[in-house]
Amino acid sequence: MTVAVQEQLHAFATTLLERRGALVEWPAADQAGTAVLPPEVADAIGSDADIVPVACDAAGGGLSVNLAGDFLEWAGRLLDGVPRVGAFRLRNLYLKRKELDEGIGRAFTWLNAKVNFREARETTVEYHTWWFHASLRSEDRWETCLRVSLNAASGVEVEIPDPLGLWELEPRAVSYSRPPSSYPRAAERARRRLLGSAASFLDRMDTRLQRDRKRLREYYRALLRESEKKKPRGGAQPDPEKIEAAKRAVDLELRRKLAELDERYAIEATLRPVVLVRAETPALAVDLSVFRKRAQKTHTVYWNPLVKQFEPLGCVRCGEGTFAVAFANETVEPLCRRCSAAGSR
Amino acid sequence: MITRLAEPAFGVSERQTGGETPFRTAAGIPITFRDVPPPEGLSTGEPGLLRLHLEYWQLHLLRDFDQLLCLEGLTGVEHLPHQIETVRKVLRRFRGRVLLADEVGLGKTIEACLLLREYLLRGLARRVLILVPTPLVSQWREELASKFHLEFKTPPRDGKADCLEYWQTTDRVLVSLAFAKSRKRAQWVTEAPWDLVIVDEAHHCKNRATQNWRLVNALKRRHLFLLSATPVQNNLLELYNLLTLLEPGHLKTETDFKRQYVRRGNPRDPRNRERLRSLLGEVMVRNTRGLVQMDLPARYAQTILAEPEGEEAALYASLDRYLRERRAPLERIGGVHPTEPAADDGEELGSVVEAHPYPDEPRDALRADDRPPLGRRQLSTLLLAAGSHAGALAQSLENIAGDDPAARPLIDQARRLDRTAKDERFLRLLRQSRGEKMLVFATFRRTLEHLQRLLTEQGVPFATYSGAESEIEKDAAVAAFRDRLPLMLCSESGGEGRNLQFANTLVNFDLPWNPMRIEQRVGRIHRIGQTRDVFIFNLCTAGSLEARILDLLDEKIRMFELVVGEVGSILGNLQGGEEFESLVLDLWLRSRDEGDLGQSFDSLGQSLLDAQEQYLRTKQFDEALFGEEFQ
Repeated sequence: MTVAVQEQLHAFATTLLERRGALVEWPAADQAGTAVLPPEVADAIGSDADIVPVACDAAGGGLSVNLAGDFLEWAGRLLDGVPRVGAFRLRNLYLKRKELDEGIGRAFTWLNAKVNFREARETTVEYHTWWFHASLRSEDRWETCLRVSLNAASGVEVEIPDPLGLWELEPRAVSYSRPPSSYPRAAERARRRLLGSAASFLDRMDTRLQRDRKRLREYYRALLRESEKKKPRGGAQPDPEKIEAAKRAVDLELRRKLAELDERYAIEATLRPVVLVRAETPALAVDLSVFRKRAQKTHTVYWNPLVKQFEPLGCVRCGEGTFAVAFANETVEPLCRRCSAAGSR
Repeated sequence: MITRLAEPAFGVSERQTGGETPFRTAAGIPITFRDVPPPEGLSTGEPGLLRLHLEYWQLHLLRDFDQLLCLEGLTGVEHLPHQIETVRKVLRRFRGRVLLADEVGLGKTIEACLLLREYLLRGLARRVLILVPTPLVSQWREELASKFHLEFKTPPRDGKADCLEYWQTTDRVLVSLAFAKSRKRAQWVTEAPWDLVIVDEAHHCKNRATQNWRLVNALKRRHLFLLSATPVQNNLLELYNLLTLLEPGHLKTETDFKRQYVRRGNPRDPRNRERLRSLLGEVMVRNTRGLVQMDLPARYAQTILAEPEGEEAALYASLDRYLRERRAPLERIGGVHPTEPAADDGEELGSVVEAHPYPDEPRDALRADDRPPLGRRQLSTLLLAAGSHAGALAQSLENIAGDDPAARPLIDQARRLDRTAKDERFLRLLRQSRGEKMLVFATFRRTLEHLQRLLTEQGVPFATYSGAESEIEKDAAVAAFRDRLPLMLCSESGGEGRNLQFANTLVNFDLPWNPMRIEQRVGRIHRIGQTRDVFIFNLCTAGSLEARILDLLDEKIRMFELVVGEVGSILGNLQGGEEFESLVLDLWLRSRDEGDLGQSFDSLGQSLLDAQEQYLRTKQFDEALFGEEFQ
């Protein structure tokens, strides 16, 4: 274990134990320390004693804080009691007020409609930032962490900075009984992002699978050829039934091996939402009148003070945010370029 | 198929099937998403608490392959650089399908266990099946548990494993190949899916026509490790068969293989040697002593026979009469009485005698009264205790005396013995030792206690290292032995993984029946870092079972002169499929008298010699085939 990893583990374990009410005297990662554990923490860790030695080195007994062992297991159990949803407020952010019309003109391209600026008003928007831990398990394993932020009002994904890193963050009381409706959309975005970032892993699995399939097919084809050529002893005529039976057996074995190969490479993806931050932020809502043929509708776009930009409009079909917007004929709902093209085909 | 993805950047498509939407890669590998529900419960206004969760999951990402996880938290495992290198290589290059063919004694088992641990820790494997020759089951189980903290289940012999449910619901199974391939079970073993299968002494699967090969071939498994120091025994086709288990087609078809690599008229001498070696290098790792520069100094063993006299001789004679009268006449019976615990919680000797030892006698003939016969475990414990020391024997007899008053006079007899012939020989050895540091092994706790008393009486300072001591006390014992004390008393597991190479003399005050355990004891000082020749003294009472075992191991196969690990390969070649200690007990059970027993041991000795010859032939062949510098 490198020194950097040890230090990371040391800092994390100390904070976690202290947060759960333990007294920790563990000055440095390369030294041994002591922790006084409250009964519920000792229970979660599976320790009989309430005063235990703690160290990154596993050999000393007590709590071993390393990546092997059971550290991540008991840390996970301790974290079960720690809230995973945060509610905050951001105040006093700058809101753009001038030249909104021009700004919209620069940000958006209206593909098939006339769009007029109607009015702008100050409002508050809740941004939901979801963190996911994602893993792919096949013949090999790959994992990553992902962050997806959505404007809860528009449902559009926005790229805002990590809210936990913002100094303006103020706690806010929120009654929270069930997961907010942004979850399915966030999960879908995370899923796509995961598959994008795992591209090289997936390519690798594809290459290996194809190579293994090829090898198996060649091998069993060669076996088939051999069984066809095989001459019985004593110069007798080959028995066609026996040849057929041998072929069937080889074919069956090939299919079994190919199926086994497919099973071996099948990928199980796990997307685990680990933290949600709900950040209420002042924003500017700008109402737009959209004229498409003889229909007309009002849509709202948001000016986001965290990135100081307009946010895209969400495509009504695929949910993607888009700045190049087409509108449906009768409903005048926004469409991204791709969905619009698909609809017109 | 609906291709919903607009941007095919990652070459993944979606397909709607029923309620779920599996993705597929370009080559058609299905990607199934497992849903984990989103967080619920109270919210917080404290960013620090949320960051803890994020840091926790970031820690999971630190487990890249540059950093082996399996090395952390191990106790008593001395992993060597070539083993670590092998683990890395298998993880990176071999994709979990490999033939580990290190020369004997270089630690294939350690490599396989490190890999197993790594696969488990990384979530690459959950369901694991380990297939080993019967004599090595207990060795594997102990190593997995004590060194790698991995508990494996060995299927019960009572029929519970004769169904699919057992194999599907038991995630970690350690079983003998003989048990798994039985007609009653093979179907279930092969029907259950396994993430990882390990086959030790895989040369037993060298022949495609055998049930061994067919079983391993039929197993549904993601990863496969084959372990064999001697993958080719008679014919290159054996290697072909083994590698076909790993990667069918890697060496093309058998006909192709013969045409390209097997010399006509001499199936042991390969053609196109370089090309073959290069192909083998893609699926096989072989470390050699030459390559890893691991040559150990010589070891010398001496058996010291102690002749019992007077009361001691009378005790052994009475015990022999008692045990022969009380032995179980029929199929095996488990222990009814708790027996004397061994110094490290005892050893389990409990396999089944399939046949009546005296088929021509009525089944009840040996039972003199209504007292229940002694079970196998009780018998073996009593025999082992007798071979250890009178104190251990007295305690073991005490444990059964409640049910069998006939044992009482023997207890009194054993208790009366203050000094045994073996004690005297041990003390004489101490006087001759000229200050060399001496590691003294004893199996039973009572024997260790007796030796402590004996040494104290003689004014010999010593340390004790056993399961009864705490970790701190053990550390102190080793330090004292290294720095100032001439002698350390050790229980069975004493000092495993500790650096005790500063000593070069070992005394077996008693002797386990399993040669692998004897080898483990010797391995405490005959290991990397030992610079001097090693001397082993085996103390045993003349006429005891231990003396007969020693005669087999030392005189017949010259076990103490073998390279570390070779005895395992020889035992693996033994026909029959029983553990060695079980074989010994069977011989005793089947014998009517000492003459009978002597003949049986002669016959076992011949089998051992045959097994050794087979091993040596194969070893020579493999050395010629793979050379010193295979990698």
